[in-house]
Amino acid sequence: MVNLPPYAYWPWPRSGSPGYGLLDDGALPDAWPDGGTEPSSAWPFVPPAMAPSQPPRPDIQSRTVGFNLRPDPIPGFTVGSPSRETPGFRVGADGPPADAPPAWPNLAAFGLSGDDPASAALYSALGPSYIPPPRDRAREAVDQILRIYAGHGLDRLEREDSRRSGFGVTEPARFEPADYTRPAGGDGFNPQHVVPVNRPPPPPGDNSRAFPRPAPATPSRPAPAAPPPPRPPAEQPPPDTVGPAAAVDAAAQRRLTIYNTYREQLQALDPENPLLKLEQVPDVPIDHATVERYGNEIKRVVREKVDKTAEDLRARSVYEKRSSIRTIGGDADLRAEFDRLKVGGRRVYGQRGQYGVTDHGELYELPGGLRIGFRMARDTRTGVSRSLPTLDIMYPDRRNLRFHYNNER
Amino acid sequence: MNDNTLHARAMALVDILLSVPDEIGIYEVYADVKFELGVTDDREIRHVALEIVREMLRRGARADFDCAASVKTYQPEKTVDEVMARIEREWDALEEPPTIGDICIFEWTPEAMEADRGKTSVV
Repeated sequence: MVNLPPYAYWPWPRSGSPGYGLLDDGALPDAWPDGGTEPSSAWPFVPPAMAPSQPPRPDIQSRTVGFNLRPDPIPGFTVGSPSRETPGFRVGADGPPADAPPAWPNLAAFGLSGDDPASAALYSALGPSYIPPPRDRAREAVDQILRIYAGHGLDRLEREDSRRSGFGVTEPARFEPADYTRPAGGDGFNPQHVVPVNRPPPPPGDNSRAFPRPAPATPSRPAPAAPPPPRPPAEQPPPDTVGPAAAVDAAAQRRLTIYNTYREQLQALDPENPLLKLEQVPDVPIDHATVERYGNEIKRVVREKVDKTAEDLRARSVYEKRSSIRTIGGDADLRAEFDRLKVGGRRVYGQRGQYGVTDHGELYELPGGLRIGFRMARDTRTGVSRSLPTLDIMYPDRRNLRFHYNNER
Repeated sequence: MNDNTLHARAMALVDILLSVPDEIGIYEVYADVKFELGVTDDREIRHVALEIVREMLRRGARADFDCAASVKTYQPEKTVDEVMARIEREWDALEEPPTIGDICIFEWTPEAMEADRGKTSVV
């Protein structure tokens, strides 16, 4: 018989009944995680004040078998002082000493890394909200883990525990994972000595064997009363639309849009530049939807720029309030505004007049049908030809705008 | 919109166009009829625009079919009907609505504006 330290195992055995199980009311038992008399350094989240001051109970020490479910320390995990008067805790004759700190499951003994969903669920249930212990959540989490990895739930363990207790079974029933071997010698079982059997790694995405499955039913181990419930089908996680990944995608989309906008404008300015040519790939159909989307975005950007410039010029101009013809003075530079607005447009010519082929006016057609023109108009007040810098803005869907520059008006 | 209302709004548009001395392109008259008066049918737009043009000519605006030449030195059409006939002829020759540089512009000089005001005040 190996004398194991008290409180080393969880679930806590009942008083007088070997094996494992929860307390009578289903609560998680209290136990000192590693069985020592002092808080272990591996338990930074256990306050030193909770160190047990009493020696282990011999009646529990000699019959305790099971698993040490002590978890690995979790960085940043803190736990306060558990209340001994918390309802659902069994202390005293049927449980651990009153001053024993709460037990923590050693998921590593189950082959769990602590990063899987089941471990996360258990940690979440037993972690910061452990005080007062959320018995139902903890029980549900343990039950969930067992159903996923062991094929049966917590109720089965309780049934077996009750059956052994009620019929005077003397041989402690031990959980025998199929993929773990027990070291020879001794009639006790120390989970510290379990050694994983070499086996091929599971395929990617297969976590069905992350937890050792129970051995097949044997005469000494009755078959389960009911088959394990089928696993629910794995659900695809919803697409990430608000998280960091979505932000990265949105930023990439913005960069692509900006890049394409500038590339299109450069192409318009220098159509023969080989560096700016878009060569169609053979046997690859054009993505018309994408082309149309980019085209619409370019039109929107161009229209926004023209509208903003027009609004700015209108605010600085004087005119008959209902007229579409404005006169602007001061430091306004209509030529500079025109040069800025015509970027991305193509030169067109009027049939006659100052925007004709033989005259001096410059007329550009922008994406979306906008036309921007600059010319030196005739001042009808003085009769002097080509004396008024004039910016013409011709919209395809609204009244035209015309700005004359005249600092004397 | 009935004809009387449309006509009244067209005359108001003439007042706006001739509120300051300037050059007015016929494409601007077309755009104002379409977007300010809300006329959608192309034939009606043309009809209203020509009505406005006739009123502008009647008030003293001068049509310039060749913007490079001075109106004072180049005005082969003498009467309003002659100018209107040429405008309609050139409009019909267009396969699309007039845009900048098409057909003609109208020069509204300060002298013409003063003369129009004088006629209006006498009346």
